[in-house]
Amino acid sequence: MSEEASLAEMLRRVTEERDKAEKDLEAVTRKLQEVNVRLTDAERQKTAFLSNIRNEMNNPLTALLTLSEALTERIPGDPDMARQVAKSVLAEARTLDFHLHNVLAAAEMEAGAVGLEPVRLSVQRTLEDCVRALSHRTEDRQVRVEVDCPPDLDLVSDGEKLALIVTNLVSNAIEFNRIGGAVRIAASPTAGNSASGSSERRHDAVPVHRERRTYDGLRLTVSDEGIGIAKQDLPRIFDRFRQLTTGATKPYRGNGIGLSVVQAIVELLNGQIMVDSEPGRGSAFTVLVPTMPAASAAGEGVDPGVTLFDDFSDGQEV
Amino acid sequence: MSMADAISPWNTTTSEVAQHFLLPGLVFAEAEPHIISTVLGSCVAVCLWDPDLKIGGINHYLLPLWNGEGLPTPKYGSVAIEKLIERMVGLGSRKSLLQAKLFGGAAIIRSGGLLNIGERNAQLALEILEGERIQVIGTDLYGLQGRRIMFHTGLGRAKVKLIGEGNSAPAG
Repeated sequence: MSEEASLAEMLRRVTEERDKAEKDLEAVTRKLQEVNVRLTDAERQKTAFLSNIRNEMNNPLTALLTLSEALTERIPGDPDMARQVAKSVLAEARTLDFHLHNVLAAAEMEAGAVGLEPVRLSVQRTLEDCVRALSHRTEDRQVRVEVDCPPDLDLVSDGEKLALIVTNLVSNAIEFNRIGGAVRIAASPTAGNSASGSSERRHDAVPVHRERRTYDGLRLTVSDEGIGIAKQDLPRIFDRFRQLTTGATKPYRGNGIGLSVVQAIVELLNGQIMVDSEPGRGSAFTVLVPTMPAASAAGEGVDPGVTLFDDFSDGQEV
Repeated sequence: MSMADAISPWNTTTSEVAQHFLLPGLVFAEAEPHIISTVLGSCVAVCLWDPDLKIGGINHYLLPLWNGEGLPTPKYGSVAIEKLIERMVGLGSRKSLLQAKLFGGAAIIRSGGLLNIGERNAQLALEILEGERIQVIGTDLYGLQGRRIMFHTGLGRAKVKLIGEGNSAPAG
């Protein structure tokens, strides 16, 4: 090969490599731009959240103050009226309690300082307690809630965390339901089934986690007959502070933190969450929560099957 | 069991130090000494130790950077390392005195290239700690096997054991 030809060959190869590097760089740049957009978006959502949460917490608080003032000062003589007012106080207090739980759970989760306290709990009782705490919303929206749960279904898990999952999903199902619609809560055990292999799933279910795991725990589905979620919106619904309708005239209550809290708790419990929705027909959220090992003497959750603290005699010190 | 084993700080049946299993995505830092145990695959655990106050803390993260999805929890390294430093400083530590030991970052799913999460997790810890001027005094990173680690937060000592390839892959 002449010197000229080998130089030309070398030039060609260098050019090729440079083109490839440029393409790679373009791909990386595009990725970074996407992330940048998402982060800017997340920051904007946070600002919107702060002004929204002010209303969500201030309104029930103002109502609580007014109602309890009325109760103590103006209507002590009328027991029927007093009962009505007390009922409203309870409803407002529950609303406030729910919002506070969510905000505190989000803060706890973001700090990574979450303690899990596994106890054996009755799933039916947990579900019924959560539904009772939301009874004022079901009355307001004339929604009926049906609970389908085997009475003997037990689960070892953190009761407070599980309740927060249920309350958020049911609260959303009530809020986004049509007036007079139904919310169905179905609970069943999962005994070694493949989490995503069940025939109950409709074709367009979106698994948030794609890996398949073996479960020995709880499958919980909360479904509504509400507005549903468009397919292109599904990947965004777990984002923090995300509400698909926002602004001063938004028709639904809530602050957009609930589903991000639910997702974070489910992940922490090593579970999965899936959503299945059809605009105009309703949504169904399915949560799989594996049973936790029962509390050890120290009260700590410990992974089963692995003896975590012994047999380190041949371990290497670093 | 030999005498040496019986008085070893690692002997959790004789030790009076509290034990805690750290779940993926969480941060642990308390003033009281603890023996922390966790299981790592492609995840990374950063152990911070304050030789002055003799206190330590640890995190366990799954992915390098939060990308705006869900909550910015310590599931992501960028959050987890920042939170751990914050917690140590909150306990009275001076950041400049902290020492770090890093574990994990194995290539459990052998894809390699840009998608090797374990490697990216480990690189991120090294970069952030360098930026924060925190000295890294020990590492056991990368490789193809998962690890079980123990960190004694009262002594700043860590022990690591590889998990055989034949065993089930750890979640973290």
